[in-house]
Amino acid sequence: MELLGFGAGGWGWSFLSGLVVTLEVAILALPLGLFLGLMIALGRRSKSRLLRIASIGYASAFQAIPELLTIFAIYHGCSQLIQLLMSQLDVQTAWTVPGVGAGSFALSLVFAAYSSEIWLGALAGIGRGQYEAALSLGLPGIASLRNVILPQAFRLALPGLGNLWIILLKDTALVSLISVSDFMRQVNLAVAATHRYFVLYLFACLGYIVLTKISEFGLERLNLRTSRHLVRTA
Amino acid sequence: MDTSLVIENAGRLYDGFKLTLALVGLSATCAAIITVPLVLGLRSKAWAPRAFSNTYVTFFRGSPLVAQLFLLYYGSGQFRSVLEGLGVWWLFRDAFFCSVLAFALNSAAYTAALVKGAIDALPEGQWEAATALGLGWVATLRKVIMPQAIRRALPGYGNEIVLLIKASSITMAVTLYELLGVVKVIYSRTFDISIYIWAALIYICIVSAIRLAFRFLEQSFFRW
Repeated sequence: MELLGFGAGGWGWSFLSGLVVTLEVAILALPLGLFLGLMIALGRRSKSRLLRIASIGYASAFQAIPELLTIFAIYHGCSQLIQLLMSQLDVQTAWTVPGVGAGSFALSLVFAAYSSEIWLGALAGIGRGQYEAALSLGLPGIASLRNVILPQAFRLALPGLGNLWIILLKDTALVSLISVSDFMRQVNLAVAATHRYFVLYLFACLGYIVLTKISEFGLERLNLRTSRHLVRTA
Repeated sequence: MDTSLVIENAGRLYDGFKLTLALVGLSATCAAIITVPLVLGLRSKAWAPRAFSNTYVTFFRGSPLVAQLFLLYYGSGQFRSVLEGLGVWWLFRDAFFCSVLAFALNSAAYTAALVKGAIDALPEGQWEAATALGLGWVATLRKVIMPQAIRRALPGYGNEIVLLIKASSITMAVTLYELLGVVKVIYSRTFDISIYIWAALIYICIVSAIRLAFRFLEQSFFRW
């Protein structure tokens, strides 16, 4: 137990800082992932054939490529790009992209591909009448999307997005392979130092289960809150 | 794009590709076998098998596959004397076997939840009708329930296989170099980023082939 404690010889603080990094990577991936996913869903509903093909292509490509490959490609690709730019500007640097940034960017690209499916379903779940009503009120495209369609679509999308959040949370463990000091990597370091393989990796699994369980609980509350107008009060 | 990089390393890439397929094929088969008792446990009326199956599913679906793989591969080393006593240490020493076992255990949890959902979704009348016809439990499952449940579960199962293909790329963390592992080695030798794009294309081809196969299966064998 003192292995996991916060005293001398305990790894408590490292694990805690790792958990913070894990949550950081996941939360940083959300805004871009959600926004890009919505854009792709809109692209798939677009009248333009080119936009439709491009969005479908993006979604199916990033659903087929392993997350780890995306993470490596973004991490090494961005590093090379920056070094190329710097050498063009005659700046000598060995600066590499921070792993947290590259990791959460890569995961947000994957999140976008999966969330576009959810947004697509949610947008389809909103009646034609809503679009027509917004049009007849004279709302321009963006305003009708923002004030009429999205607030309703978000409620429909929430359960699916919640599942994706939990998958995202577990996928963040992969960024430990590009040396980000997340929870998984802190456990790896503790294992390397103490050789207590079984206990520590079991602890890692349980740590992630606690995170996913807390998320499930929070998402359920959020779900009830967003659909509280549907619940008939006695 | 420069094709010489792929042509030079074609042999290595092909070896990685074969390893990926072997990993996925073996783990999918083992997962299918583990799924059967799990589904029975999840639907059991007795609390003990139900509690066990629920805990199993929660554990394997709630934690990352990498952590499970590490737990199995490195964790088993601590029980070396026990495993040697049982005569199975040579299996757990092997990264390939550990990966297959980890993938199978993990995938079985997802598949079991999928199959249970498909069976639960069938109307009660199907069971009652089968009972009224005098069919036994096994015959009911085999002739009435499973054909319908499999039809419902098939698209989800296709997704599960695709997830397994993507998941197989993490075995490089336990020194097993399948397709992505080989690609990573090539990258660290050449620092040529285009190898990642080639790898992405290969994965897209594999996944597309799987998706087509499942669509064909849905449309030809389960057309009713």
